[in-house]
Amino acid sequence: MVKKGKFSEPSLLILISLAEKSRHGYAIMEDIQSNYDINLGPGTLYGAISRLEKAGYIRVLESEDRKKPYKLTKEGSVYLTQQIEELQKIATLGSKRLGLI
Amino acid sequence: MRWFIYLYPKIWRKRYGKELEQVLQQTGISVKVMIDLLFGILDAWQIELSERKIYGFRMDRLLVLISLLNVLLIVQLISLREVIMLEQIALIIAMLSFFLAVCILIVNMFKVGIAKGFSLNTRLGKLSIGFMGSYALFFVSFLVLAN
Repeated sequence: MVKKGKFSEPSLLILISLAEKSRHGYAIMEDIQSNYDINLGPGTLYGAISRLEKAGYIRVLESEDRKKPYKLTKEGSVYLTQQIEELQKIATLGSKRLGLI
Repeated sequence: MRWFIYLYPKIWRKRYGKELEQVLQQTGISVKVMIDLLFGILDAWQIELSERKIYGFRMDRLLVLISLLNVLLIVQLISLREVIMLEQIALIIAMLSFFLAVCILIVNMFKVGIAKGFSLNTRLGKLSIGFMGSYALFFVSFLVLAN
């Protein structure tokens, strides 16, 4: 049985973006836009960032600049791995039923 | 653009306000961005209120409970054809709010000076504006009920 995730799609996209390297808000938006062609609004972006930070999945890196980079934490990495495994189960089941594999 | 950020809860604004402002400078403002920000503001307030507690009760639940009680009271009074009483209550609250707003404004002017007294930088100034808002709200309610 596939468990329902606690976080929404924007949160997962942010975690995937940060899995590559630490990025600040606007860089996360650009990464999501270039990879998935999704325009994440600033309100949605910072709503998701605040939830993820509260959950301990990302943390802000100290910076002199006004643009503060975010880093994926160990807990965030574990959570993202679990979510990707769930998504893979869904994709495999869907592909099997469509006769693609 | 900046006043959108002021609509977020204070704690949220302190933590993410400058960053969001920076991002907004880069994305620019459009109708889509404004709608997205409004949803973000609602979301931030929902989280904020669900985390605040009064005597162990979550503030968002208390607000819903108070709103339901208000609706129940109004429905009860309307069904009893006591709209005139509601009219009077709305007018009394409106006048009281106006009186308090003016009093606080005068006190503030004496305290910090005439020019500064009209600004929103002082706590009393904010309180006065709050009472003015309450006056406007209840006076409109009075007009609606009276007609």
